[in-house]
Amino acid sequence: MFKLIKRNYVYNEWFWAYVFLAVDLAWSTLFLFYPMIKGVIYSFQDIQLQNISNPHFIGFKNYINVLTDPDWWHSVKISALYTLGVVPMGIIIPLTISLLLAHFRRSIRDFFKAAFYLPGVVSAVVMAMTLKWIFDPMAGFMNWLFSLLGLPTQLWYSGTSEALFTLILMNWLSSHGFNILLYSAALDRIPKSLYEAAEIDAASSWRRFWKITWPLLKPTTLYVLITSVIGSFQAFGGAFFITHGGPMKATEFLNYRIYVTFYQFGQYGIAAAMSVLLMLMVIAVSLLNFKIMGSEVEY
Amino acid sequence: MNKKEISEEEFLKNLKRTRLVRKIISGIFLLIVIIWGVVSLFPMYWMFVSSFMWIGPSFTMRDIQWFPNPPTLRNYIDFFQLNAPFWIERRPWQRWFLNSLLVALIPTLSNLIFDSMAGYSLAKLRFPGRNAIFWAIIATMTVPLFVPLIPLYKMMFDFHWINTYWALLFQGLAGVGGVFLFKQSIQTLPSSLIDAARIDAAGEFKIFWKIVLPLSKPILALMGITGFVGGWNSYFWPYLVTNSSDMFTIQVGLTGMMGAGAMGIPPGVEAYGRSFAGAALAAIPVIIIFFAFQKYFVKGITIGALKG
Amino acid sequence: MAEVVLDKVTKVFTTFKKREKVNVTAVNHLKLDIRDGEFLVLLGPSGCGKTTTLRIIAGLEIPTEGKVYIGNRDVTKYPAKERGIAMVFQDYALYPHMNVYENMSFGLKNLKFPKEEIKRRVETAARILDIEELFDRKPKGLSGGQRQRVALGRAIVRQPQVYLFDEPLSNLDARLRIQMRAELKELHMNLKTTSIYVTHDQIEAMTLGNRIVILELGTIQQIGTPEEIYNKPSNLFVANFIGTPPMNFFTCGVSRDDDLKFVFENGKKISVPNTLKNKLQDFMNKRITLGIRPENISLEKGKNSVEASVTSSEFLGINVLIHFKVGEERGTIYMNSEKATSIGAGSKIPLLFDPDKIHVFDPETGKNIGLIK
Ligand SMILES: Nc1ncnc2c1ncn2[C@@H]1O[C@H](COP(=O)(O)OP(=O)(O)O)[C@@H](O)[C@H]1O
Ligand SMILES: [Mg+2]
Repeated sequence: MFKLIKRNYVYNEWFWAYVFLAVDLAWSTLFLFYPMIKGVIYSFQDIQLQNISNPHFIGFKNYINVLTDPDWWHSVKISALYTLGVVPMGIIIPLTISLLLAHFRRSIRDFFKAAFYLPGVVSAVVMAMTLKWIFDPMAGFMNWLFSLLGLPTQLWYSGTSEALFTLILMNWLSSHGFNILLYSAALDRIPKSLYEAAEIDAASSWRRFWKITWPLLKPTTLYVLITSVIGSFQAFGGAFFITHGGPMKATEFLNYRIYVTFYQFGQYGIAAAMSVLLMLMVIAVSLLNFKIMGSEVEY
Repeated sequence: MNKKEISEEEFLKNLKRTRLVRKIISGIFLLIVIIWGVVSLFPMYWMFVSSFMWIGPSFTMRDIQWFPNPPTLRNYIDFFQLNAPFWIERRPWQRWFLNSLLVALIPTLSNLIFDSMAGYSLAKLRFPGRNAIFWAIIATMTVPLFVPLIPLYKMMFDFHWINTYWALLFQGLAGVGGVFLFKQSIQTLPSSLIDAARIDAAGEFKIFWKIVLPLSKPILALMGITGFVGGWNSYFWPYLVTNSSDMFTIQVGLTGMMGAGAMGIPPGVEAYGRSFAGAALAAIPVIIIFFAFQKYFVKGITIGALKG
Repeated sequence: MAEVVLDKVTKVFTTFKKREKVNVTAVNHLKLDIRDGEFLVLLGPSGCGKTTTLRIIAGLEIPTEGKVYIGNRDVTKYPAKERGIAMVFQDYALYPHMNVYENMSFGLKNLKFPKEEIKRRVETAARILDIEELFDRKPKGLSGGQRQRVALGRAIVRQPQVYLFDEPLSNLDARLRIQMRAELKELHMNLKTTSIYVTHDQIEAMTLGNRIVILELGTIQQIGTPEEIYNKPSNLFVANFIGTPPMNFFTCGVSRDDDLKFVFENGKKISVPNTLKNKLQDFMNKRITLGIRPENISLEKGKNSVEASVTSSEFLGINVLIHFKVGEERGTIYMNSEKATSIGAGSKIPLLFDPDKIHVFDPETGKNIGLIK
């Protein structure tokens, strides 16, 4: 066998290719691929913490349970609303900021890019803690600011009707650094000569944006759109750190629901069915996005 | 003749006016960008400020100040429990930081090695199954967290790895997470270098070690830095697989201090002060790293997300 | 020193275009005997399979079919390092993170040569190439010509049985290219090592090659010395590819009145040279393609001259290039500019073809009828 490998250099290349992949593939097989398949298997099993040693297949029962549970559909609605609230701003804000930034000198641009990205390196725990404190209904900065401005103070995340919007607002106010960098890089790649040609054509800046900038940014926009739809549909941190899904389930996102079902109630089978359903939805949504935007992201 | 002179004057006037308009527009743009910068940075400011602000049980809006006056170190003293009576069980904050450091360093380093190897294999070597493996890796990137997480969590139980470094570190020593970026980056190296090395009688491993790795320093640095920051900041997996406080990382510790999670009991206002002291300490290392390696963060974006 | 033999070598690449499997035959049943010490040039347009052929010889690509022999050894399945070859790449492929000395010694180190031997060889090669001053520099700090020399040096220190060159001069500017071409030739005359040289530049091929192999679509069109390739192109492809400005082609009929004649589209008839008369018997009353190089046409009126109208002329210093039309077919003449002072666009000129330099091709197969035995 080794003789064969040594003698024939084609097999030698194959051999080393697999050697280089071996550790990564072994680890992923054990800690990712296998659990993934197992997750799908769980979703067809009656498996829960109370009865962990005796799982057995029950067909689609978990799925039927989930799909007939109004709470599940409530979570679908909450996650969908959150996505609708978050995604448009997740494109408009980074795009606007990077278009504005493009007017300035490189040094100014780099300074602001760094400033926008900085909050992104701080951990989600710290960020969530801080935002919770800023929006604290009793002692928070926001309400202090509101009262300074003569506005009525708000319940923010502790009000049943305000909580979801508060989480959306928190998203608007943070976490755009990465996409600003993406858009800025994409803008940098647009050849100056294109704009010069348009200048000669006396195109207005509005037209210039729609005729040149926007079409050339399309791959970036599609990428941002897909990643932010997928990301916000699987939102979790806000509920985990700040609202605990409440008040009155007002922020019970899909992922939070899965987490509670799995970690608090120990209903592994049901939670697995939920996560498979979530996966199907994510796949469907990203396929839809591809269709709508028409062009393809270049990997 | 006369006419022309007038129009020239007018032309200059117009030019001045357009310049003025441009300056004003530019100023407005700058203002918007600055405002947004202030908004984005405000939470971090507020976090640091709050860590120096005494937040008692009866703290309300009326006690808020832009800047704590006078600033106090009391929160830090509380976080380290320097003044706590001796019978109170100590918060093992040293262990939290140590564990965070381990989680940030060890899996990151080993992933650098294994992911660069795998990335090289997929980028430059020819072997059957290459496309299948590559697409399998891409596909896993879109699978929601919880699908593999539930069985993985149970697996940790079955292995008796819960609350051990096996779950915290060993489980993450390799994986396919970083392979894609390594592949993208190594693909841009000219293949002729590898051919030349083959003709120069270098074995396949030597080619990787002596040619490919040294030429991949930028991506190694990028992945190392983002890996460290990601590990330092990770909270969910450490939160799931640890249950005694001396196995916590700083993020898990903070999660507990603010009563997050499904079973946590939200603490009163007075808990914020010491939590912010911890949060500030947890944030400082990554902020330092960010400023030290800024260009890698800013540059790195383009390698991965879109073709550069 | 060794000869290299390619025995019916075929290389098929399988690629995917829009999820469809596409097979590309880059090299097609190539049979080639390269003599010991010869400088052989593989010449052809881009994409014709030159690089693939070279890589198969190098051991960087395994042939789909066929065998490769170097010095009577069947090396088809040997890795590159066991073939006794050295290669110079188009982009030089210098290791960017190593300095010049490390670049040149990397191969010998891998082959576990003793330190002193490595030093001796590297220094000798550097002296030959005049790059001793550059040892400590990284490739980034070198000019194009210097990089080229280092790449050559890296090959020379190996003292290989065969040198392989893949368009090594194409990244240099014109002046440097001419200089390096001469140096390469000199180097080969000194070392006398079998060399296989790939290029798409016919001037390089003509000046460097003992023999030239013309490739197109992975198949050999002609093998021969530069003179043979130029004067006796075996088919239309070679005739068209070799020579600047390219050969003129006219579609003619062949007919007999008192004598065998070529009949041009505009009706003009000229005599068939004696040497071709026999060969053209089979083409009586058929169409052939007549080829004549621009420098083999003179402006004399005679019974065998053809009338043409000048469309433009280009002054090129000592020579002038005159573009003309015969009927609807275009062509060029290359001649001394002093003789062509009065010729301007629109003027009518008589063309007299040098009868010894007329080529005739079968328009269907492309074969040079004059060379068919
Ligand atoms: N690795 C490869 N995969 C697929 N097709 C290839 C590969 N290498 C070369 N080809 C194809 O084979 C043909 C010959 O290529 P090449 O030998 O590089 O030509 P040349 O060097 O004469 O320009 C081309 O059509 C090219 O597209
Ligand atoms: Mg080529």
